Amino acid sequence: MTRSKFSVLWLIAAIAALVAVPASASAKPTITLSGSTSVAPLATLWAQQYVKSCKGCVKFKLLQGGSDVGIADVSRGRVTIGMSSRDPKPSDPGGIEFNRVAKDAICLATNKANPVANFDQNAVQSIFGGGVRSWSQVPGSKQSGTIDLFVRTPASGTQDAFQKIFMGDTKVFSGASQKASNGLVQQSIQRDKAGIGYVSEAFTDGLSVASYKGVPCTLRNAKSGQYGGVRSFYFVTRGKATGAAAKWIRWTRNNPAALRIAAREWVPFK
Amino acid sequence: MNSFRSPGENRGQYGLVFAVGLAVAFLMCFVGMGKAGASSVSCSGTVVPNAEGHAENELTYNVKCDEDIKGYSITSNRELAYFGTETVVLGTDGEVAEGESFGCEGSIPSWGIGCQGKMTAGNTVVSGVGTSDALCEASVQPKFWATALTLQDVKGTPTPFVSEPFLLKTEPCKVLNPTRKAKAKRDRLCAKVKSAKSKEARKAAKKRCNSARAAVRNLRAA
Repeated sequence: MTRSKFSVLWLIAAIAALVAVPASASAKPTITLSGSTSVAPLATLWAQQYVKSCKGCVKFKLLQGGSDVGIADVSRGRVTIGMSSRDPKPSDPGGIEFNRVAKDAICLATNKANPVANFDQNAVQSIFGGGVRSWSQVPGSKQSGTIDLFVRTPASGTQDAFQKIFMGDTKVFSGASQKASNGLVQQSIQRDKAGIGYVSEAFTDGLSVASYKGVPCTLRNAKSGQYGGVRSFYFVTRGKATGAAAKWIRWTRNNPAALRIAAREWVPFK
Repeated sequence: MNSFRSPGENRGQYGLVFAVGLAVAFLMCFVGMGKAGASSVSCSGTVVPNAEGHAENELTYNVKCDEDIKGYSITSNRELAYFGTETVVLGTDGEVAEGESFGCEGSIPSWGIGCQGKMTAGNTVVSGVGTSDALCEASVQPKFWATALTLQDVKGTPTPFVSEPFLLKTEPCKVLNPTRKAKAKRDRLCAKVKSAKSKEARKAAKKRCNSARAAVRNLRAA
């Protein structure tokens, strides 16, 4: 190869490098999320703050569908992070990692016209298990007639957490009306004087919230650990989180701004 | 016919074309390309700042349509950095309409979001979005559009139809780009401190410079 040809090749390589380096440096990673409708409101608030604080270093794509959908999606590599509002189960696919990012209180709620001060676990199991079907059998209720039960769909992490924390081995009554999101349960109870259900603490506006085992379902009691109906929120990754997803998960757990956002309606990681 | 257009008008037109494209793209994700057609639905609504919201620069939008809808998208000429993942649907009586809701999905940041669910004709869906920057920090007035997805019976088959984008009512900004304007004013006034020829003139210029600095600080804090 002559010296002039060699120089031309060097020049082309140098130009290519100059063009390629800024292009790769400016390519923003995209973190895709799917899953829990309970985690989604917190994830959007975190995403907004993170994009602002890292000056647009990353882009988020947020989908919903329920915890089971998020876990299935991440295990198949369809999304970077699966949002889950339930603990890991033996039936979950292998190779995934549950990263706890916050906690959340599940509140028992009735219509404003039918406030019930407290439920113990027996009462919850009797009502949601279908053993008690009339409000006249519920101490403290102002309502009479059939109890309208509102529960979540099986793909929901809230449903799973409710079963585990409140119901134990008692199965939820098959005649209960299944709703796809916290918001739909909230709306149903708001409209139905005979309604009862359970929602994430962030969705209790317009509802009468009952105490559980004598402890009011409040953010303060959830943070202090006094309230028993608390479950974890997870960002589920395929294997150990890496790259932009790992950075974001670390940020949600440690950054003061992220902890402040979580503390508004949820229990922060620390 | 006046063939001259201001840059703002052109930008507005580009914004509209951009919003139409985005809205159609969002709704196509839900219905599958090639199946959607023209729609007879008509929608309207408003977008107002929500100072009590949890997100930064949060705005509350409401959309009402004259036919049952199965989905909608909100697009804007402002970059969006937040959206409410769940909505509330209010009936004509102002009460929550049971069984009617939407789940919203999208990217952060982006220029629009898409929501799936259902709403009866005449009811109103309420939720929120948040802009990346303060609403008025741009050189054109903010605009938001809603596009609806309906299912209409075509020869016995429920067929998805995508509407045109409907402009939502927004209070126009009294001052556009207030921070940039305040900074320019600060720079102009503060430059006069050095060029002041007398002690008194310098003192007066310094006072004006300080108040301009404070105005910038206040805008940033807001």
